[in-house]
Amino acid sequence: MSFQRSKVMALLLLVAMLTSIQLGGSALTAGDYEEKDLTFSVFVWVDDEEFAMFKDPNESVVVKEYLKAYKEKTGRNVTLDFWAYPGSTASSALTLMLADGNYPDMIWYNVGNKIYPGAPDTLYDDGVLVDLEEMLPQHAPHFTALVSKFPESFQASMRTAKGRMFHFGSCLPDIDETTGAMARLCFWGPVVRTDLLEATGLKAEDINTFDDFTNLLRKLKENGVEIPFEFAYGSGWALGNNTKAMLGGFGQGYSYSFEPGTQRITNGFIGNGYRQWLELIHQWYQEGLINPNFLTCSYPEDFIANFSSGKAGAAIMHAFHTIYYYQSYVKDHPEATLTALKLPVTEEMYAAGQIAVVRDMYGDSLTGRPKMVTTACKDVEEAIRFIDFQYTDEMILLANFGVEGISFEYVDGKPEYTPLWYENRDMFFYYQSLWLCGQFMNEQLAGDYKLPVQQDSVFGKWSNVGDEGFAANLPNSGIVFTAEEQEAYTRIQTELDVHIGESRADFILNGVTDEGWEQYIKTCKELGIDETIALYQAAYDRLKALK
Amino acid sequence: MHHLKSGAGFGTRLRKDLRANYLIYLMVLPALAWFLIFYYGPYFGLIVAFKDYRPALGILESPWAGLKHFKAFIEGFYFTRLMGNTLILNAFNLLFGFPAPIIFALFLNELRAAKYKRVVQTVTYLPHFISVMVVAGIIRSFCETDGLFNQILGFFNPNHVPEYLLQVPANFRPIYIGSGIWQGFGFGSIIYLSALSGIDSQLYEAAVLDGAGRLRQTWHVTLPGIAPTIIILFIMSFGNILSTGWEKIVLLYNDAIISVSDVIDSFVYRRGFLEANYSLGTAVGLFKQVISIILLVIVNTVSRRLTEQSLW
Repeated sequence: MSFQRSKVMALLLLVAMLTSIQLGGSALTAGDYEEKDLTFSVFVWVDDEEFAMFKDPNESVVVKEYLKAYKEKTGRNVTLDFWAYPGSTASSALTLMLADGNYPDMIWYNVGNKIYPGAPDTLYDDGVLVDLEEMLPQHAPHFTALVSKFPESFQASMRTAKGRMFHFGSCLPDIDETTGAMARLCFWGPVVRTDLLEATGLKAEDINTFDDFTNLLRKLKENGVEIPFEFAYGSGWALGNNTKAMLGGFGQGYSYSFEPGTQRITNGFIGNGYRQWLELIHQWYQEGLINPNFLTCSYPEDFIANFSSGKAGAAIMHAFHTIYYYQSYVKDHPEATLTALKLPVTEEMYAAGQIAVVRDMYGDSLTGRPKMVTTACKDVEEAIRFIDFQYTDEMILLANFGVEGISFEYVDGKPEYTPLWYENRDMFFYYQSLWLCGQFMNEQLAGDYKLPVQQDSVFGKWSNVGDEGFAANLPNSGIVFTAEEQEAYTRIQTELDVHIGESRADFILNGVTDEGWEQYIKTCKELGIDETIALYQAAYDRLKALK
Repeated sequence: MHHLKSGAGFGTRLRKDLRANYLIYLMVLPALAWFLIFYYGPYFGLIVAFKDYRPALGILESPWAGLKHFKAFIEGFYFTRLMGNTLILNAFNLLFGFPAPIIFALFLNELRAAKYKRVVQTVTYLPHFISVMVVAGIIRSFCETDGLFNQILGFFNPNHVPEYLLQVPANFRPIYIGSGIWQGFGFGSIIYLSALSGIDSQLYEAAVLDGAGRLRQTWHVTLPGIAPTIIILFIMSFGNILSTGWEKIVLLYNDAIISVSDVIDSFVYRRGFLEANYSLGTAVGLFKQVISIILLVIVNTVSRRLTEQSLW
């Protein structure tokens, strides 16, 4: 394994050295060419497994390419001093640094309320972050240009409640060129093992409603598939996205979202669509259609293991995680690919021609993988320019596709990943480190962002742009609380989360009765759900007042 | 060592003693420094419980919050449940977990084959050294529908419908306590074994002469011999009556059984650690310690009156 990895790395480095990358195109407008040596210290978190390979992100070819290109364009010879931490310890390490007063020039990490009380505004009040707002037009022209394409309410997600600009997001949604609306926001959706689907005699395009989906699961069961639907309950974040992906089909938003058909905020977990979803999952549980050990089932590890062993038939997964499965199993078993299915909807919605509207956390924000500049930075303007460089077309290409000839080739003028990208696990980790210098969905690129799931691009299947006022259309990340609101919200929400969580497990295992549901709603109210809804409403009204 | 005349004032005595035994006092210094720095120094951090701690401002600069965090915990919706679960779990632990190493040590004491005894000891110590992550992983896997426990249940009861055992609230406490005993009884027996070895063998000989059998010997010689150790450990366990540790709980619990498995320590882990609410975490920790100390003093006093054994 390590021998193979070092061979691949050696090859990559060699090719990277020999390949001169064409970085033509848009000229930099900010900052004149001036030869200068700069060093920035950077706090960054690295995926746990990846951390075992790259203790220093400077080893990443992409980071090297980025620095090289920046030097060619601007004359600045930047050295990055990475303070890299694995995901499991990053947040506590950062809190300690902040407590110690010894933090780096930049933080490439989301410093939210769970790392710093009252964040983000308190980070300015306490003198940790620099307000970049007024420097943006001059020193970050590429970022400013890109962001201006998004609605004002969406842009608000990069500002604090007091209007201070605090970070550069690295995961930006795609914009539909014809409508100008944000597009392809959902990365989570249903997949089924192609060979098992074929054995049922059903066709992917005929599976539209929850009834169709249940029918598919029953057929899989009849054919001896032990776990027709692998349900991500054991990993909290994956459960959230599983729920979110299915609630859209019931016309219900996830957590704090619009009341269906209105622009009033509610909490999806007390909505009727959520109750229908609980009833459906309970039914699946009773019929043995989901993993009987779902409470302990981890995502994506167990999913991949069970897809590989043929135990699992279908699941809702993040498009990107399917790559793990392809790398570990499909490359030797080409018949066992995954087929993307549409996000199922209710019979009524299907009859009315409605689609499921779901928004995914990455695509829906300017906060994904953010970069922030701290008061420790001696040359803030240079730091901003350095970050802004990632929003040039060339660097977007580098971030998403890597290096031409190694990880991608142009096919009919469009970049396409080489087989090396799909099939080599080391290569994949190598490209995970692309996140370090910005992975985001650019308009032209995202459409061609081919994931290995069969059929057409998953984004075509998991379509996700609905009408104005649709439940899921609340820009979650645009909701920014003041420090006071944040405190009140956290106090209520942490207890509410416990209640919602334990009730969810109870409903799925034992079914939803009218009394049980009433009692559940009653306790939600006692815990203060109306108050948190009001907090969201107030924050949303502030947002709406922007435009 | 020079002995001092009693009757002089404490200051005078200390000064004289310092002069006379300065080398010994010098030797105590590192230990004293150790305790001051690592045990008493952190007490300063308890202020955080009365503040809205903000890391970049530091402990002193952070704004005062009064008793806000204590109130938030005590008036919290789940306070009674957290207290109840913690106390029940610890009560069961005292009831079943505390006697286990004593009984085991007594059995071990009766073994005459030295080699066999050593093997048994080593094997029973082992679980203590397995990381809690691994222990929890083993338990979860044993509890799955096709896991060991379900297979055993199925073996004895052909009508048994396998289910994930950790999704049934009634199962959590037996599994938690049972696995705790498995982990700790071997290692916990060491202290009793050392107490047992301190019992004068003449006592046994005398008992035999008096016609005492094995059981009688255990009852009249062995148990009274290790009673002081048992009592001291029992009193000390009250110092931890509100503590369960969070690791194993957090690794084992899930939404379906949180109603019986959520304890103060797992609450502190969620609120204090995961949400960086250090003030609340510290406040709850302080609350816990104060109650534990009060309980410890009460139990110690009762024990002194009843058994003439006590910590102080």
